[in-house]
Amino acid sequence: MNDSSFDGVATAAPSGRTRNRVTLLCEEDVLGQAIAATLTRDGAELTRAPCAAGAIDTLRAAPPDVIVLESRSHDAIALGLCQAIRQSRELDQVKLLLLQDSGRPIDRRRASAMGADGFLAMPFAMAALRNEVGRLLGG
Amino acid sequence: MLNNLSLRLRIFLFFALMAVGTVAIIGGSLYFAASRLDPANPLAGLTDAGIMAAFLSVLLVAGIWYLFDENVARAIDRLSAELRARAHTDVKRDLDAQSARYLGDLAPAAGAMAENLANVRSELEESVAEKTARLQAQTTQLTALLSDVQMGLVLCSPSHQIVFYNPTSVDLLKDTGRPRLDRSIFDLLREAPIRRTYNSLLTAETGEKHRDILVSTTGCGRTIAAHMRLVSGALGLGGDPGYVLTLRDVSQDLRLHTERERLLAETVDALRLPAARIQAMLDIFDDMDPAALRTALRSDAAALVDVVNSIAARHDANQDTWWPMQDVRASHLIDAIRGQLGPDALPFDAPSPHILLRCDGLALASLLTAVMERITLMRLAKALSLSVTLDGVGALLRLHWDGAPLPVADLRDVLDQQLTDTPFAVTGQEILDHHNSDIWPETMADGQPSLVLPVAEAWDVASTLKPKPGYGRPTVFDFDLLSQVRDGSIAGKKLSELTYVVFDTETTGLDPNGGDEIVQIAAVRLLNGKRVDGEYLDQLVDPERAIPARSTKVHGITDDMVKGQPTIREAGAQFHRFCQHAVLVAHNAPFDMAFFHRHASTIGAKFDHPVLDTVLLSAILFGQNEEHTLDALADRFGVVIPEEVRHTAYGDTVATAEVFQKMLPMLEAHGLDTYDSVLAAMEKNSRLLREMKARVGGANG
Repeated sequence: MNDSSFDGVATAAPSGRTRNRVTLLCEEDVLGQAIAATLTRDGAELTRAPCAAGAIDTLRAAPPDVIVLESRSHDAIALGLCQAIRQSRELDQVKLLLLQDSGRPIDRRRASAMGADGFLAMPFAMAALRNEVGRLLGG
Repeated sequence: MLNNLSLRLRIFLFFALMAVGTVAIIGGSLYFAASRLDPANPLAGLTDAGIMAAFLSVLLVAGIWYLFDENVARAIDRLSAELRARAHTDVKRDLDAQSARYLGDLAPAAGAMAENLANVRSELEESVAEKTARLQAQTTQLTALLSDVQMGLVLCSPSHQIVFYNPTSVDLLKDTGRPRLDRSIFDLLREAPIRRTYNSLLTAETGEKHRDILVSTTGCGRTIAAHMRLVSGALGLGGDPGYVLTLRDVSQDLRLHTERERLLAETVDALRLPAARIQAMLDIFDDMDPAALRTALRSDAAALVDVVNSIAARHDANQDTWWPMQDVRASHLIDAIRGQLGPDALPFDAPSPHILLRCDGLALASLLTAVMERITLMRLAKALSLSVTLDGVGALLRLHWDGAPLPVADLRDVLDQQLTDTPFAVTGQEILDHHNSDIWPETMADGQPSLVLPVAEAWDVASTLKPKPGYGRPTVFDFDLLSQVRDGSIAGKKLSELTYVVFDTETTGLDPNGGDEIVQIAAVRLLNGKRVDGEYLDQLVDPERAIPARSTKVHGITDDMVKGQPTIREAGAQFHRFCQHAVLVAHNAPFDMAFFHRHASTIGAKFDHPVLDTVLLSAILFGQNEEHTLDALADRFGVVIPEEVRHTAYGDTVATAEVFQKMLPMLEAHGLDTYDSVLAAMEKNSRLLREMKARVGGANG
């Protein structure tokens, strides 16, 4: 995804609408702002939710196309959300991108085993995030 | 009928035959002379008769001598050799009465005596065997225990020769050399620190008996943390004490530590400049041109990201851990979990696969138990299962059950608690971190919830064990060595005190100097008259030429089998190291030695050891006219060579060793109790010596 916007690759969902809805669950202020600004600029329909156990209800009520979830290593709330998302039938079609502050091979493996479709270890370049989100919206 | 005559009657018959024969010859000759008597010249007829009588008498005597020699003299010789074999060694086979069948009652009488001797022996043996078996069982248990010790143990005599070692020490020193009984410890570990510590402990006035030392191996420069303890008293030693070395390889720990230190130092250094620049930028924030500030910030941020990523990559690349790990059988891990589960535990089902896990078994067991207890407490399951499967170079531990999944928050809670049953107060998460691993919930294909815990290194047990009858990895010892000083010299030593390497080779053919090559070497060591279990060589050798089909027919070794095996250069060097300070023994040694002499320059070592040949020893003991093949010798000494190992180098080596072991007391009974006297005995028989010299190339001269 070299284009500055991912409208071009955003594909039509079965219902016919464009896949561009992204929900961002991020506790980190500056990082959250930057991600939100970047994705919005790229044409995403972005909503933010607090990274808390209750967020799962919001997600179930209005499933987005991609969830971007920030997680600290051994962060029970974020991983709990991850588990809850994969247990919700409503969220079957939703792609999950995990942003984590550790990036050992075992962390990537755990993320993928727990149902994450993408994984970025901090620090990452915004370009990498846009790439990942674009890939997940496309697929 | 002839067989039953008594020996006296038989000998009388020989003489009677001679008497009758002589009378007949004289009578016949006189009759011949009388019948053709020429009265004109009576002397001529008498002369003819005299010549004829003399000639026939000589013929008669020669014939009777031949019968006497064949049926009496040689038979007695054979019988006495058989008796001697029974007198000195424990031959179970019945006496061969066939060759002595004309000796009247001698063979049956000797047989009866031999049988009597065998009976007395076996009675004695039985009572001794009973006591020995009890001792043996205890020794076996003790050695098994010592073989399991995860620390290298080596006992050395006051002259620094190895008297005892366990398999862990073999692993520990494997890149340097193999510990062997009687080998100098300085061949394996650097001399100076050991000698210094030993001497200072000997002279310590405070009565200090043990001390820690750091010593490196002589070969590959591993660092070993050793603990030296002087031993005497309990091991029945007078004079200078020997010492036990407890060995632990710390080079890995040291390397890891050094690497971590370096990474840490470099991380701090790499972060200093970007941090300083950002701080400086904030200091001059208001004065700076916004565009320049943005550019500078951007490049510093990028630099920081680079630093973090490159450090993370280096850290990930090195996944070693300093936490002590063992190779734990999956079944032992499961047993440990069962042992820790309380009486109220859920039914626990865990098949035991043959997998070895590199882990801290007890800690992992505690962790899994804690998780299982939480699942039980939360009533998520009615029964639990644990499966262990290989996964790439590692393994997956998967705890699964029918029911609801374990919420991550609860898993987190268990992981953050201190585990019971661990030596330090560690949490489950710390144990996982030490293993560079993690545990997470996963739903299995059949919908069952599970928890997955990967273990980074694991092996199939079957791939680590290559069973071969009689080959173990035992603890090896011979405490007699403690009081012996061995320097490899043979002068003045008793035969029974020498170290022997009995060996055999299989070859492409029978012409060592015509292009034939070795395809297999096998060797065992004899120390203080005993074969050393666990010290053997059994090596296929790539002859770098084709193996003729007729040779393959003999030893069963094909071109495919030797492909990729070491050539004579490496295998010969290995054999040479194995033979250090030893007398070489082989059946028809000159043949085998010829190959090694020819390759001495390739191997880079001369085989100038003293050599004994069991063919020649047999000739000394049993006379030259007997058969001296290995089969015949084995038969004579009651050594059984199992058919499946006959004509394998190892099988023939073991047979030769057993035959040689039985020859040693016989040689001593002949008064040949030193190597030199055996050599002198061969000297007496110049034909044997000439033959040996010609074939060995003077190594014995």
